[in-house]
Amino acid sequence: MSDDQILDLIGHQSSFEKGFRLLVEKYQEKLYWHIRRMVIDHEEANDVMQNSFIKVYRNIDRFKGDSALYTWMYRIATNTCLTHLQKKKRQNTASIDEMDGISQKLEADTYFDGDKAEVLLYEALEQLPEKQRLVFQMRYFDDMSYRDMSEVLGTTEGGLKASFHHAVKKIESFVKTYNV
Amino acid sequence: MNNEYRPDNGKDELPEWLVRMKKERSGMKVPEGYFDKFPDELMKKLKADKGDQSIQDTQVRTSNIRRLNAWTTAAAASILLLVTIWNRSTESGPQYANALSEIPVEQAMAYLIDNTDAYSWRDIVDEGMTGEEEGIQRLGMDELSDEAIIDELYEEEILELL
Repeated sequence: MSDDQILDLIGHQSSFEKGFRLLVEKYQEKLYWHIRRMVIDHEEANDVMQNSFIKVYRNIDRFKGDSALYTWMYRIATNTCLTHLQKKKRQNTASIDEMDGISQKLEADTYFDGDKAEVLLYEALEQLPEKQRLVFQMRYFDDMSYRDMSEVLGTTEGGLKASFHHAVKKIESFVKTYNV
Repeated sequence: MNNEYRPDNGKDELPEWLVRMKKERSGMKVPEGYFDKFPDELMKKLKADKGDQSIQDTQVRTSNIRRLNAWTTAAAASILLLVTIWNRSTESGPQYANALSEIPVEQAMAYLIDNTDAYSWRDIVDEGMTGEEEGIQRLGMDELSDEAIIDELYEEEILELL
């Protein structure tokens, strides 16, 4: 079903729930993987995805169609994700978990069975500035076009291409240094 | 290492190992049937939240009315007190007025409120009717416009009676 058809259902009170459910079914996987790669842990990703969809549910009447529905939701999920990570960072500043690295987190995650190379990639991503990491993940994992990324992140396409390029170089450098 | 950006014309330049890794590896998993169950769980949560929200809305409305009633009672009591003092002083002469003026306002207010049966002094104090900014903020009275308070007073037929 197209986004327009879904939005049409959402636009009527009698079919709102049906429309919203279709929206969730259509985009849940894309949003989940975007969130999961940011927060790493499945349970956290589940919470962030729920919160993201709750925000979409409460604000869908404000969606004016200036951007694609998908990029609008992606933006909400990204913001929810960043808020979650910042909140967690603040909490961890005063806790023992502060030094928990990404590799420990992945090892502790029941829903991760990647190998050392993959853990190393996520460790490299963790070293990137937040925005570069987002750009890399959206492009590399989600195959998102620079145009869509520009809508989500509010940055020029040229700036995003440069960010992606720098991210790749930094990842390469990190992997070369730590891949013994 | 050359960190200069070069336009890629739609194709990203990736090292071979990154291209290979993207194709071959994905160690992140989800619990079985996760995406089948997620929409149901989300819809349940949304319905529960919606219920909570309507309960909260009702509580806020009830609480505002209750606060308004406290304000109404206090305003009516104050006006009644002033009218009584003014009437008594004009009817009974300056001697009576002087005697009345010696009664502390709090005591007079307590007497009037105790006899209105509308609201106890304790309720009013508890509701923050002391006029302290903190109490007003706590009560959310700053959210009520003057018009809303006057409308409510008319609704309670208090202004009309006066």
